[in-house]
Amino acid sequence: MSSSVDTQGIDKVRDWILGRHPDRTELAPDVNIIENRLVDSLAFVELVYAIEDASGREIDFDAIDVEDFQSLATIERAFFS
Amino acid sequence: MAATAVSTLERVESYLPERSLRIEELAEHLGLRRAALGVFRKFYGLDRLRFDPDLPLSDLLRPAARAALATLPDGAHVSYLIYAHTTQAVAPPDVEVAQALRADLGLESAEAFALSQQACVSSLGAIDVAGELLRADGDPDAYALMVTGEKAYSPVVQHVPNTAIMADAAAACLVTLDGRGDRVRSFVTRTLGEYAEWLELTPEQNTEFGERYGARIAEVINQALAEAGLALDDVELVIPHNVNLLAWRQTIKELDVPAEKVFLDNVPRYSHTFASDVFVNYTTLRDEGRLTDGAHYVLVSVGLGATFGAMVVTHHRPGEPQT
Repeated sequence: MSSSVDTQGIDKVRDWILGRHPDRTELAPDVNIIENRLVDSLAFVELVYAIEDASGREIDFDAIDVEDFQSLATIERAFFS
Repeated sequence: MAATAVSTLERVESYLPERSLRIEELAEHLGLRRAALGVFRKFYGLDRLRFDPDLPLSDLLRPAARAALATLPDGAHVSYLIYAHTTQAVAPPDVEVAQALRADLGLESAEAFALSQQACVSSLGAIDVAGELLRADGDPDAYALMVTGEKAYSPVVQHVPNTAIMADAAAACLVTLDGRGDRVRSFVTRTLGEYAEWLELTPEQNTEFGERYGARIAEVINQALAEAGLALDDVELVIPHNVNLLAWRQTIKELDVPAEKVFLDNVPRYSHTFASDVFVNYTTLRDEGRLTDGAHYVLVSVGLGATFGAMVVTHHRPGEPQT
């Protein structure tokens, strides 16, 4: 997978998060999306689907950790690198 | 008896059916797909729960209620039996659960009724109502018995999408005024009627509800503490409902307290047991010797509809002098 495809993947996740927050236009890679309630507990399943859709792979829940979902940077490292 | 008499929780009991399942065993029944199951287990912290469809509601309710009644002192009597439940329809329309429970428990002289208007906060609300009724009566020998417990009789009831998997449990709490048990210091609720449609909220309402969930819990906790003349630092533990770990993680952040300040051990053991959670958690803590005499605790729950509730109590072990 090329780096440009990887970038497109995380961009899709960023767009999905921003799409839920019309008041925001930017989301820095290191912003904690859980603690800042950019993704609340009700939307976590949707975030999983957004990541799977963007990466083209099913998430292996046995191999991941909550920390992988903290920010765009951790999501990119866990699912798009 | 003075109108300012304080409600006291004389005995709390709970009951959990023996049949314990992993959440994966309910996937087909609830129509849970792989991603939803993964999120429930990995992020929401659910693992096992008690669920026995063959157990009649009366058999679920009876053990905890009887155990609490067994501690009723000689010469005392139960004036009120309050059945607090979350789901509005818990039995066929021709069955009045509160009346049936009254007969089952031999409490014919008690006034029996049900409360469900605050959903999963109804049990805390019922404690408050019990205190008000007892204060109005002024009978020093009178008690009230609050009972919780209901069956997740349908997948629609059992699975709250993206939020919780409901499970079986029951609890009972014997209440009186100025007794030797836990003193109720304050009770605060906030009901937001814009979420009255329960599971039929719009996606926008769901997003807003989820985003502000933790902040709203923190508001009622802080208000209840203020009314009790206490601060969070004075509290030994928050004893919450078992909705899921992620919702509480966001609330813990909002409260700005160490994670250990909120008792979440029962989330993976029992999941969300409707209005019973805080009382099930209370009995777990008490039976593990983790409730300290004279210490302050906050009982917290949230009900669909939506009601946020917090009750501050000061724990007193039976036989210990009041402080």
